[in-house]
Amino acid sequence: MLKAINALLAVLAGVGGGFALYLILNWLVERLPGRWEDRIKPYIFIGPAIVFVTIFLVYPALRTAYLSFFDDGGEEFVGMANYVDLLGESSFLNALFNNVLWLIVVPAGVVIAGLIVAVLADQLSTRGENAVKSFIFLPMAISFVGASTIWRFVYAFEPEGRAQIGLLNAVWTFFGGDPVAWVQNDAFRLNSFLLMVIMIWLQTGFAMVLLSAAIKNVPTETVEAARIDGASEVQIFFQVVVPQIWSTVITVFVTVLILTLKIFDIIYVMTGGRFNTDVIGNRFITELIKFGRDGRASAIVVMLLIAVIPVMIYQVRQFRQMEATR
Amino acid sequence: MRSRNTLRLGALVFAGSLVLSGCLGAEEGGDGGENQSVTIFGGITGTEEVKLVKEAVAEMSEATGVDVKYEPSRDFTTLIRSKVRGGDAPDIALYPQPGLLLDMSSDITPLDDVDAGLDAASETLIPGFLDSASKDGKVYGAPIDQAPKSLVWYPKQAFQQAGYEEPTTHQELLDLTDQIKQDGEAPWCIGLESGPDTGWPATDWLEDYVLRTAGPDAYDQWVDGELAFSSPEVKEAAEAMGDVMLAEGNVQGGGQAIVNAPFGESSERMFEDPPGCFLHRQASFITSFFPEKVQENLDEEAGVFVLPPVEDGFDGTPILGSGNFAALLNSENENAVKVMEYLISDKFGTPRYEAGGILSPHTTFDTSKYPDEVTKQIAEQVNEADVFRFDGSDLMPAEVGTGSFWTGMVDWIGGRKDLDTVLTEIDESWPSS
Repeated sequence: MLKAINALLAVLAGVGGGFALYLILNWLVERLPGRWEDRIKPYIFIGPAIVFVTIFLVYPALRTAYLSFFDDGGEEFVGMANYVDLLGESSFLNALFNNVLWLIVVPAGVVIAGLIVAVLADQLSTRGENAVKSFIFLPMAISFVGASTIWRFVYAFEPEGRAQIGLLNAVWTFFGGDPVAWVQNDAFRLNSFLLMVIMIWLQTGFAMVLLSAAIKNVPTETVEAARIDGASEVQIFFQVVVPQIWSTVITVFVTVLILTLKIFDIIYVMTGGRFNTDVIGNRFITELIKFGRDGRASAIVVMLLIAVIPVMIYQVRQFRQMEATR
Repeated sequence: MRSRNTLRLGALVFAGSLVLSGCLGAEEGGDGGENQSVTIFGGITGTEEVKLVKEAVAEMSEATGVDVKYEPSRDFTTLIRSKVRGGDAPDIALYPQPGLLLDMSSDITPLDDVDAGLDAASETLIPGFLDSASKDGKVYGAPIDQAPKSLVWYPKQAFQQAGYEEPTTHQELLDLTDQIKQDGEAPWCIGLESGPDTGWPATDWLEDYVLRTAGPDAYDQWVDGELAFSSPEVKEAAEAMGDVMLAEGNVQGGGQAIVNAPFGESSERMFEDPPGCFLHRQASFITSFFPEKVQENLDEEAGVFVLPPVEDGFDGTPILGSGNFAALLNSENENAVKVMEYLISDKFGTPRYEAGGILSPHTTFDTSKYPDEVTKQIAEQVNEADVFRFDGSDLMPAEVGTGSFWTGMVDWIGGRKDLDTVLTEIDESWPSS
């Protein structure tokens, strides 16, 4: 009870404090002569945000980079040793390779699946379209961990002779196959691809909503003009519609790409990184929490951070272009 | 005017809540002196288990006159580090892994340095138990319970009806396995799946066989990192274990099914009708995973024997076990020292032992208090054992003990890598410093 009251008061003090701070600073700036007021005012309002971003994002990032050059206790300087060690371990390279696969397959899969649903749903009656879209959108509301738990039942495996409780194995054995331990099977990275299906299933709804809106915005004149010129429906789609929704496709692709870079939950729940399915997000958690090796864990995150930078730059540029054309 | 009023109100709310939260905060923490309470933080979870621990703690509170609180957490291993680092250390922590305890020894007060009844405890404890939590001649923790692991369970009714007998040597165990196979049944149920900890049951198997083929001295060297996983001794033990686990038909579905089966559920299959298998090697606590009707009637439904010794191996019966170790993190709290003394003596824990599944680590504990014949029998066998050794993977560095050892066993048994590759990989993962 006491704790609850304390928490409530802390929230009040925090919110009230923030509010009061802005009011006081604003009041102070208003006292200044007119020219100075205009000059300083923007900084008064953006300043606190910058301070918070610096304290909670920039500083930790720099500190992590710093720690990545130290040993596990963060005491002894070891230079590039953490990076060299990690990049020399086959299991880490394997995780990197899996990450690259995820980064290629998942965003592409999401865009393609979202596009197909959006186009096909567009052909239905309004009511049918809404119903279909709602269904496809539903998984968006499920957390990664929840979704993985559901898919564990899809991929579940029981030895031959016992009842198959897994959906995929039930279907597989119905058609005469022997039960397969799906998530253990890493031939051609089959198990990694099966895990990617989970993420595609989760994100298709998101892609569908954005792409569907974009498709509806394509001016009908352009489509009709193409039709009059004798283009087939497939030609119309690829040469008239797709170029006009391209910026949305990129937005969806990059958003899912960034989400995929951080992938951890699905791997942790489904395989824990065993059977050649490890990714760097999971490897980071293992090093930091299970093994208590701060230096190596920091090095992993720094590498992840470096990998995200080009994507971020590209997205910011894309965003600026969109703003400019608007 | 309106903005001025809002401003005043804001300032008032802000100042008021600041003052109030300050007062309340002080009230909560400012309870010093003689009546200082003691917090125990531990990894013993599960509704039933926590209830029993709390009963035992209440009993202790009454005996010592100190207010003691038990806080369980599933993420003990992670949280204890961050709690200690963040200055929020509990007074006493119950470590499930002595390896982690020793890893954090700089934060722990050795029991030799305080008046916590270490001498009395070391006399009644099973010999060798304290060694697992000692470093450089100092004892950093003492066990508060134990779960023997070298046990093979069987479904008593079906086992006797089929005319099988408990084996006393490794060869007899293999013969029994073949006999069950010839009768058209699956002899063993083995499961390694345990969420993020998948693989640990197999490390117990290997430890049991290292103790039996190479003996306790080699075992100690192995655990300390002096004897390599790829050494002939450890490899021989792994092969003996493979003879049981991986021979064609010994486990339904073979290696892939072993890796896939949840360890708790795999034990239940013994009690299906007809039995899904006849043998299951697992620690004493597995009884809590047995079907309810079996648990109610444990003595008639379940039989147990110690995993038999290997011919030409160590001459004697070794017992592998695990347990929770209490360590003192805040010796400035005098009451914590007092509680510690009770905690590590043979007086603590009776409500837990009366419920079964886990045992007292003290040889002086009155075995008649155990709830069933099965538990009594296990306790006797542990007391009679020639050698006691602590679960080695809990003593190895975390990278191995909770990392490559687990995954290596999973890769080998699942058939993804051969034994030599796995053993070499585990050796390579052993931290150099």
